Amino acid sequence: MRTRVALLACLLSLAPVAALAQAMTVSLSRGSDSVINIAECNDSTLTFTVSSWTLAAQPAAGTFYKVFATSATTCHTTLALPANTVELTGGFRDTGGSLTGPGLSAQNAGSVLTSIGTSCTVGSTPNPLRLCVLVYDSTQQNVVAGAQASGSIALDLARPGTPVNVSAASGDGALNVAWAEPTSGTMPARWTADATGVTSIAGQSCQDATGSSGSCSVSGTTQRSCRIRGLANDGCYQVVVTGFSTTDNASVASAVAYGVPKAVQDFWERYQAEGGREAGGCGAGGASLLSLLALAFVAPRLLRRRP
Amino acid sequence: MKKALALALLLAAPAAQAESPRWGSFHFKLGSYRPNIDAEFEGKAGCTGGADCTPYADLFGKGGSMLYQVEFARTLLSGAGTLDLGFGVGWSSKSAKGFIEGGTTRSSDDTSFRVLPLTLSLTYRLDLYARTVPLVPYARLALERYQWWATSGGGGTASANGLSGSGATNGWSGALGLAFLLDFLDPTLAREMDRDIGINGTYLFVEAGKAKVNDFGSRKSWDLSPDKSVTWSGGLLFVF
Repeated sequence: MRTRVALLACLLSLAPVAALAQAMTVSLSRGSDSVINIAECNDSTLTFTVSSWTLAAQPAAGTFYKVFATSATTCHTTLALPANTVELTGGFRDTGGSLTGPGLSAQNAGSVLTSIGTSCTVGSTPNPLRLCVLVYDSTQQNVVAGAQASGSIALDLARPGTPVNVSAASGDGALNVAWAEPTSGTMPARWTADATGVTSIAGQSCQDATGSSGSCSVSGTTQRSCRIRGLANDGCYQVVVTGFSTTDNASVASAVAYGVPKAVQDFWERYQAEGGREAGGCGAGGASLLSLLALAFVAPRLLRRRP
Repeated sequence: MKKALALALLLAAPAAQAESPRWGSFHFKLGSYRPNIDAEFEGKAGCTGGADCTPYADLFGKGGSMLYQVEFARTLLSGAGTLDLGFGVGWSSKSAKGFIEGGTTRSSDDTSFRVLPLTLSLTYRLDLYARTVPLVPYARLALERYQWWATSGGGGTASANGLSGSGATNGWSGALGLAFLLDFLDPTLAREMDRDIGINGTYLFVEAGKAKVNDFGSRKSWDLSPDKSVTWSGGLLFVF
């Protein structure tokens, strides 16, 4: 019985500690996700902001903190600065004995990534940019164990696979573009087909369409075609298809396909061209129909009145 | 006590056997449909490529497409057979690749002709003896209004010479059919269906129909009647 009480007391004393969960809110100045893609990694104006954090344990009054960025997979817990880690706070700051932190002003992502040895090489798979808050005792000589916070920004520098077998079939003022999924690399999450007017196409009779262009996009993994509208009939166009990953990394553009939009005779046009008499609109026998409808409406009432 | 219970059971028995009151019926029907649009060009030649003028056949070939129809009906008279007044709606669509202008080469653009038939019908079913002989002959007369539209490659309604490729054509239809009362195969299940969801009878039917959908002979309208003089269709009928 005494052992059980001691165990319960022990558990109760641990409960507040277990309830504290460290957290950190990090955001990028571009994009709606928290992933740095290829374009963002090469954007010298990209910044990230640490808006707040919650430490894993309540710091004592008179303690200090620092914020670090690292390419290591975990935050360090030593006084010495490990490799590929930089300090972002520029010295010790007073925790004020507060469990939550005030955040950090916007930091230039490019220079921080360079400082921690992460490059934007396309196709590489770097560790996430990890942000760490460490708490130091009042002497500033010891790291307070268990009172940290950390967060991270993932980097996705992988291009999805390149679409293949692109074709551009003639449509009326349009090109119907189709393609096949990449034979290697990851499957794109969305696709864009771009048509650009060119002066001529070898082996095809068409007109200079320089300056004219159009595009279409589809999302998902099943659809492999789309229609580029607003093109000039008989114009010469080249078409490329690009795949995009979920993090908006673009694939290498597909091989070029060529197409020439052509005026198309649909069923209604053919019917009219051959002298059909129907002109569309409501039926010419509308009056006859209305009278019959009225009869159908009256008939049941007449029938009901009979004994 | 036992006598009272037996009496209660005897009184309850006829009620359990009795049919629920009839309100109307519902059916869905499948058939083939090919409009007789090319009929107005009979004898006319010198169209595209110097051939006969058959715009519908040129685009869509000579085969028909499925026509799906459903109809709700209100029973007006019952006793000496059943007389139903019904309203129905259907759907049929045919698609093909359009022609590149001025030639016979198909493009990659689709064109289609879609029909949505609306029907106001009177149906008489000779179902007096359906519980003994499960075959019920019936006859139907209907007013038809076919809403239709043609589409072009972009998926929108086609237009030509300033005329929009959509409209409605009116007409009439008649049908003679024979319905087989499926309740005959499993009377117990039939009674349960009546008791649980109020379906008095379920029929499998086949019918021969004739329709004239050309705005009652108007010279300004095309002919959306089926291209066969008699069409066959079939489906399921629920009387409730």
